[in-house]
Amino acid sequence: MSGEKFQVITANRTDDGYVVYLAADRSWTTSFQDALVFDSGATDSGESLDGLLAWAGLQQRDVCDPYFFAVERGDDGALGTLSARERIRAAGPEATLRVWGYA
Amino acid sequence: MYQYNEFDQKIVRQRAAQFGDQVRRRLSGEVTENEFKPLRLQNGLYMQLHAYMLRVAIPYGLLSSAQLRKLAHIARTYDRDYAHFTTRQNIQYNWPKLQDVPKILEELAEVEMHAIQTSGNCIRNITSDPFAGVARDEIEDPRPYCELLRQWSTFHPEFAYLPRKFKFAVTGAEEDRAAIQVHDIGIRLVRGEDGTVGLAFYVGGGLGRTPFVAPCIQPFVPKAHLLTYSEAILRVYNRLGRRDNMYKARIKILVKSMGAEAFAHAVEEEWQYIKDGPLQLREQDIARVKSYFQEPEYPVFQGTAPTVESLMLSKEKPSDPAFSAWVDNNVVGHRKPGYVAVSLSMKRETLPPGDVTDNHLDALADLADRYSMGEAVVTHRQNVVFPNVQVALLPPLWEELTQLGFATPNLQRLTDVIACPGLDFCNLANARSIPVAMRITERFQDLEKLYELGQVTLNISGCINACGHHHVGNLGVLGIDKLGVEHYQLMLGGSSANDASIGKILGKAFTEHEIADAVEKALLCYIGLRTSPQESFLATYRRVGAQPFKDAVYGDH
Ligand code: SF4
Repeated sequence: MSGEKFQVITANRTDDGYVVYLAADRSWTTSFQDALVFDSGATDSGESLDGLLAWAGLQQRDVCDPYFFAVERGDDGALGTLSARERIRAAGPEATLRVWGYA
Repeated sequence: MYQYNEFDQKIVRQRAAQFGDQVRRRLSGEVTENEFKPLRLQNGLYMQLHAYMLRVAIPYGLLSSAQLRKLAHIARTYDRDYAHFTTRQNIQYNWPKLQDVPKILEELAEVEMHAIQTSGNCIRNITSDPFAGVARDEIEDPRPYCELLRQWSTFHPEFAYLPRKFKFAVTGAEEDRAAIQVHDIGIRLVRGEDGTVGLAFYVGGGLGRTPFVAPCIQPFVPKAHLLTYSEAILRVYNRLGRRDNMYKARIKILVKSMGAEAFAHAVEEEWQYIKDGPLQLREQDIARVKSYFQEPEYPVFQGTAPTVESLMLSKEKPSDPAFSAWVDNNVVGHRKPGYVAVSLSMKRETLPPGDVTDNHLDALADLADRYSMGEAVVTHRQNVVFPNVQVALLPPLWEELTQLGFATPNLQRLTDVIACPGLDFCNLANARSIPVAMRITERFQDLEKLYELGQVTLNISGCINACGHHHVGNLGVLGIDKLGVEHYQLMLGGSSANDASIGKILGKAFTEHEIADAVEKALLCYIGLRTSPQESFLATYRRVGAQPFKDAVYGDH
């Protein structure tokens, strides 16, 4: 498990491949800010990252290849990513989206 | 161009139907992603960072106007109104929904296209010279040989699970415009001592983690043995190639570890078993495929055929100097008098390299019909060639291309950047390529500045897999990840032409904000060092070596 303090679980949605995050109600959201945050591997209500990741792995119809990654919390409580890959997954291909009008 | 026979038609339709059923089972939950993955990959469907991506094969880059229209329709109906020309003469859709993919495959089959062999450890789409069939320096049109290879390799049961993916490129020209020496197998049509045309085989080239320029293992194979010799190579690779480590599984590693001579010997031995078997091509086999690539019926000119020179002296020539620049840069001679081949630049500051909208694709189809006998060719530099344009029609074509933004006179110039999708889309990427390409392109918009640099290639990849061919750019940029931050290494001295060479890393990597400056410094250094404006960037680099460039780029870093 990651040594980073906060984590979220992510996957790609089976229907369209879009990036999704596991939310607190066990639904999948496209909003990174709405992701369920694990603090050192557990949620506030005590659910474990490993346990929910195993559960997510069984949601084959809905999502593909779930995994977790480390995040940070800003002073304002907003979530931030620690890697370029996850930042771009969350934001989308910005330059291309701007050019083709999907920003 | 090649037309599907009943058998071809049947297999692509069957494949679309079969995949439709597989998708249905995936969406109903009967099949897991792990079970589905190999099935979707066999149909060119990848899972990228933000969505599925469908890669459609364009054999040897050749498209009819009907196919262009179909590609436009697919972009409009099933995707986000645009598509992307790749560095292997294919086209990709970045946002298809899973349930739509079988319908897309059915639509593609209507125009004799498919997405087979665009993924997985099989023989991939075969690439060629974008000027194939019309080039003045061509010994023979390579496309019939590409087509024979395509027919032989599609669904070849023995080669469906090779140790790794496998790429062929074929050229019939003296000048290598198909980068054959950086392919698993590069084939060049050559003339033997007695004047007959045969095939020279270059094997074990490639880019990626361990880049190699392919050695020539057999300088002359009779054309009748195109398939037997290729099969012998594949058999040796299939048997001896490493399957235990995917980073060492490409044929280039096998050739390197055995040595080119020993590898050639092993192929020769294998060849003896199959040489005289059913794969040996009879003259009529070659003639049959050649008949699909017959010269179009070029109209006969009264008197002498017009030339570019006569056009430039005539009053039909537009007075705008941009026209002359475009003709000088983007128009090349044709084997037929009165005709030229025209390169359309898909690169401009505001666009990701290789991206085209549905409207662009429709417009290209329309222009191909009116100016290029209904054909267009996608190039590995992510541009488009109109292979059959009458000299006299250059002025109106230029006007129309200018309207579309595809008349930038920058072919083989710095802003004709090759860039892979990088971290904007690709699941394997370390860093973004597209914004870097756009930033550098923006900086060199001034045509005078651009021309002063002469011919120079800049290739960008978002990771070591090198889909952006960074090792063989005169300047190459490689995206790397340093503790979660995108960085870029600068390489100099690469080439994919006849004098193919692998570029060398200049020094430590730059951030996304520094890389354009570093490229500019290297180019200014070149201008200061060259013996004359005729000495190219590559020639100067090869003459003086890396040190002066290092000093210039890192001096005040
Ligand atoms: S070079 Fe790397 S980042 Fe670019 S397309 Fe290939 S695998 Fe993706």
